[in-house]
Amino acid sequence: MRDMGGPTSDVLALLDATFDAVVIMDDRGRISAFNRSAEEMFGYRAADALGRNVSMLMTSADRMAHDDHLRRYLGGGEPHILGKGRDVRVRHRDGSEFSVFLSVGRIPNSNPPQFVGYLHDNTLRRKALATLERERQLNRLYLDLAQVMLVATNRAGAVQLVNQRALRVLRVDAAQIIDSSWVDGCVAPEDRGVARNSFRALLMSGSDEPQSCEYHVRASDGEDRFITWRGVALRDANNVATGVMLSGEDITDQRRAETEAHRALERMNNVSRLATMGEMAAGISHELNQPLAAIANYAQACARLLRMPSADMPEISGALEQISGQALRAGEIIRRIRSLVRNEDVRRESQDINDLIREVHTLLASDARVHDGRLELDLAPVLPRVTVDGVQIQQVLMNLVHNAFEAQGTDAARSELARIGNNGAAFEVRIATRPTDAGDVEVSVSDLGPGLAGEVEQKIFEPFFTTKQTGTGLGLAISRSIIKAHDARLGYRANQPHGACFYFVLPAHTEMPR
Amino acid sequence: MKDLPQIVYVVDDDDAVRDSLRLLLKSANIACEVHGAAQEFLSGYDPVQPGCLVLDVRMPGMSGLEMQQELNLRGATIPVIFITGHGDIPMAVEAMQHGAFDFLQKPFRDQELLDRVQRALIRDTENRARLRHTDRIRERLATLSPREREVLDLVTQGKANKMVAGDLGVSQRTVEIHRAHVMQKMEAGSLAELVRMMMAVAPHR
Amino acid sequence: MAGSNDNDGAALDGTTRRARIILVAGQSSQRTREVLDTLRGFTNVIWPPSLEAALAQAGSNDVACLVIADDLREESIDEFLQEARELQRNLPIFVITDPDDVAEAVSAMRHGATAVIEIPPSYAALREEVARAIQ
Repeated sequence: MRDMGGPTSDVLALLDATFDAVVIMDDRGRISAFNRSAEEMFGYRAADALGRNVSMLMTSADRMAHDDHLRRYLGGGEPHILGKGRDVRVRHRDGSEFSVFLSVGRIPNSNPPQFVGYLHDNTLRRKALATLERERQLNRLYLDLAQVMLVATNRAGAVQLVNQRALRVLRVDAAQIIDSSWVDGCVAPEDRGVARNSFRALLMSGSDEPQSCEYHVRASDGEDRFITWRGVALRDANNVATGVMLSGEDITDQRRAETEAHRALERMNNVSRLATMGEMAAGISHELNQPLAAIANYAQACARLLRMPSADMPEISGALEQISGQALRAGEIIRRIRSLVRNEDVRRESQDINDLIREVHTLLASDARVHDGRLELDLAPVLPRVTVDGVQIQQVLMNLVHNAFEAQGTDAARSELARIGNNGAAFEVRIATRPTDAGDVEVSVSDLGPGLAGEVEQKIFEPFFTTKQTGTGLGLAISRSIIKAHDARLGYRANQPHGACFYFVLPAHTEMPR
Repeated sequence: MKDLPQIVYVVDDDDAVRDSLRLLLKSANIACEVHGAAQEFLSGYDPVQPGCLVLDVRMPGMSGLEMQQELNLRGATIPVIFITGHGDIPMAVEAMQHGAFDFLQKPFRDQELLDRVQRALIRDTENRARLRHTDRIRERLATLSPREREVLDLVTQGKANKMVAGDLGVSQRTVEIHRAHVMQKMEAGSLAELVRMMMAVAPHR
Repeated sequence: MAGSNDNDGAALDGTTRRARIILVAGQSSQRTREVLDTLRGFTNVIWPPSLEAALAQAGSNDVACLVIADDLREESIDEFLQEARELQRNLPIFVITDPDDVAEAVSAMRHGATAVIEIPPSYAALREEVARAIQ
């Protein structure tokens, strides 16, 4: 850098070493120093720049302004150009214009005054800023277009960022929840524990795997919405968690629909169960009338025996024992019926399927009797336990057995049986249990009736399909859904030599419930 | 045979009902025999034994109604009282149409059952008496000659001796003689009595 | 015998019967009205006003069947039933009872009823029995 009575050579050497362009000018704006970066920035060699007015570096608009500023400063006015940095547009030697960041200072103790200008090429910075701004806008768009709720909080759980969807669901403005506690401000009170735990877990977890949880948020009008959340921890450069980012889907309506569907199924279940019980009323009344008749007979017999001159004590005391035994028998039948019609929540327990079958055997046998049939039990002696809702499984059995007897009693069935050559055989229905090769439990209800015709077999499980005159058509559909809920399948196969067989295979009980 | 004491037979597959009926009848000083199944009763039943049946309708194996039909086939006339834990009117009507004497629903009051048992036993006695009576009439009928039989039939139709003579192509005197023999062999004191005898053995619905 | 479908059709016991009349007996009551209602499709349904008239009709050969819908003012179903049965050994007599009244049904059968029908619900059964009787 050649000088013209300006800075010393040491200073000049320093100036050449800086990255920024440095231009020193005198009080008339003449360039007295022009460093290497300035040469590169403006495309002039220092020799060509020295002595010339600094305005050659400016755009026309600024040129005039610069002269004004200088004159004003020298005239004792405010140093408009000194001190603060500003973006200015300047001109390259080839005429192209570009922006630099300019700060100007007066060289101390210089007389006449000399000014030094630092010009920083902020193109990159501006480009980076512009890109950043664009990205930010895009991100904002993404956030707001998203169908999910997006919420970011800091370590303390205060909301830092929230998208349009979240604001709509919560029915608030951003201002109302930014910097407030997410959990205390937006989560429904009864779920705050869950939310806090999940927040803590996210912060403390070492992994970047998103974690899920579900809880209610409370909108500003008090309505609760049920959200399923996925969250990740936000980390700084040192991998320390600085906050949490949550993405949530409002599944309130879905949940409601599921609950309604579940309730409707329960209702249908109950209707079907009551309908089956109603159809079995004949058998039930028969079952109850037997012990009642015995009690009446024994009691009245005792009354008579006691009127005799010498009371027959052994008979009387025997009769009294029988009376209490029969009363208990009646009570047991009523208890069994009550449990079969009660609306209980589903309760899965580890059971012995043979015991379940024996429990309803009395009722099923009397239904058999009412149909002039016979019920056989073919229960495997050793079976693994199964995890089932006992009442529901018994309901399925009742449905299948009752169907089997009803099917065999129709005229169509009788003529079909005659056609096959099976006249007058007592209608037999068999309940069988056996272990499968896989270690599970197969339960089957089979009969020796006419079986199902081809097209009926296709439709037999459809809701509302029935071959009975007064059937609801729901029994098998519901039985199938009960078995399905037990991770099994209700199937049909033809029995040998003829007849129908409905069966299902229950998984053996494992220690860990599903 | 009328010296055999009457026995009430109880057939019911329910142990408690069966045993309680046994005790009830015993407490009323009525002789009884209990069975748990229709076949068991049928294999030991002798129709000469007077009495009545208390029979459960629905039983495994042979039902009460089936047993009643079997008894009808055998020509047994023992009165049957049906008892049932599940009964409705169609079942009752069917049982009665097949000749049941009575039909009771469980549980019943002791007096109800005992009254009906008593009535059934009386009916059984009457049946047997009538049977003996008609047996005797038939025995006597068998002693008539063919011609005497012809005269009997025409006379009991209300025809005068003259008409009978005309129908048979014999003289009125002959008819009078045959008629006298018929009255004697049949041990009938009057025409009216003779008519009653014939009605007793005639098949009627 | 010839002509069993025409007016001179022979009855089971060999007597000739112009059996077309459906006789309904019973006091004026809801059950009797229900029975008459149920038989509205049939012609020749006669409901005599008194016991004497009812018995008089029951004895005639023109009656195809007798439906005893209720007690008569003067006497019970069973009593009337017995009297009617004595007048006509082979007349189909149907007795109406309340549903599930097995004791009443059994008593009616013992006093000579041909069949017992529950009203309600067995309206169709009543019509079937009557239709069969007038054939």
